[in-house]
Amino acid sequence: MSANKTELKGEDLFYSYIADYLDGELPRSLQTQFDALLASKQKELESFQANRGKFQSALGDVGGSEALKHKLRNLVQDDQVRATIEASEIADVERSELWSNILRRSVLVAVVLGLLGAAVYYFMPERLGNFDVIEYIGYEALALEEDPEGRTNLPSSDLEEIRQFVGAIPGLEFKPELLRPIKGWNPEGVSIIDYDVMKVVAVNYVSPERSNEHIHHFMLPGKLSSMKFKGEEADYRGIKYRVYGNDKINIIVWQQSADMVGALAGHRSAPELAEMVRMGTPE
Amino acid sequence: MAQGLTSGLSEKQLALYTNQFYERADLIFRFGALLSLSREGGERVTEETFQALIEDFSQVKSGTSPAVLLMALAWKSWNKVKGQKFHEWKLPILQSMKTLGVEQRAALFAIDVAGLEIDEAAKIFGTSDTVVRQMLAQAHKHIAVTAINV
Repeated sequence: MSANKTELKGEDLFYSYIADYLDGELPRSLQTQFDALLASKQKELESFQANRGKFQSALGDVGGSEALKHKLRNLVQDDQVRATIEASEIADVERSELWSNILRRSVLVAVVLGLLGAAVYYFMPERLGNFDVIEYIGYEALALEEDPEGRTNLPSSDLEEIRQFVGAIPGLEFKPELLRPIKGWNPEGVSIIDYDVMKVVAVNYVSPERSNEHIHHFMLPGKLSSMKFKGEEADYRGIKYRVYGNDKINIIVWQQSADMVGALAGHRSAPELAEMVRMGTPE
Repeated sequence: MAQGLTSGLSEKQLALYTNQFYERADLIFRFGALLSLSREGGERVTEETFQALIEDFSQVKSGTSPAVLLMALAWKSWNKVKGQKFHEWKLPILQSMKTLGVEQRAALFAIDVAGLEIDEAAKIFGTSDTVVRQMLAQAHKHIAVTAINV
């Protein structure tokens, strides 16, 4: 309220400014006069305060009908025009959202592909390097000897049948190449070992004339040079191999083909295993 | 889109009408209802007010206070329709204000409900600040001493 001076006196002044007083907006120039009047009207002040709240609240609940509001809207825009405009606005929003969604999804796909690419880039070169497959197949060879039946996917002594089975194994990252028949060692079956990072195939051989001694020809994907296992290098009549050995088993590892590493595991010495590889390798 | 407007308002004016004036339709309805003590009267005052607003909407400036302009038009509208007979609205809050004069109700509403300044109300009612203060004082006294039913 703007007036700081007033011609009002007595009750007129009191009731005129009672709301300003309650709202903390009483002009300072009227403070003394108002306080003097208030001294005898405390009850009225309280009553006014309570009733003003009731009045404002009750009146605030009063509203015009929908029909009235409809008329007011139609003063500027009839229903048909409004509906057309709203439909057009909705279509605009939908179109905008569609493009926004396409853009958002494209960005998302790009991010996912980028992450996948980064993951592949990060993990692939390291995969063979970190995974010491030779150590694993060392354990695997011993386990095959202890429980050949439980770990053999195809029990067979027919090399042709084995060749066909191995050639049809799904998900291999290499073209499997079997050894040629090795004199004194009979095929016994095929085992497929699925490590998370690679799938390995083993053809198991048994030698009846050597008290059913076993050897196992493992076929692994990749390059010998990418393996974590380095081992001792040797050359047996043109076959370059590396040797892994412990007190239970020897393994020689060589690059059998462009995309496949061969590993022959058994209880023979490394040169004997190398000789078997030489015998099993086409000239 | 402007060609589709039934009132000939531009898009900008339509937005101004919708956001600043139409949104206050209930305020004007309450004013009309309080003065006429009637729903019918409230609706008549509101319709007249908005009709007048639209007829002269080109004069509305962007800085114009919508509440002041609407209250001014509503007061004119009330004076236009006040001679008509309206069905009384037996709403307790309106009944509580029945014994208060219409000018006092108008001043009470303008200052305490619509939030106008004394001088703005005085201009609308075509009187002085002091008279508005006197009308307001009488309304406040009525509120202080009357049982307000809601």
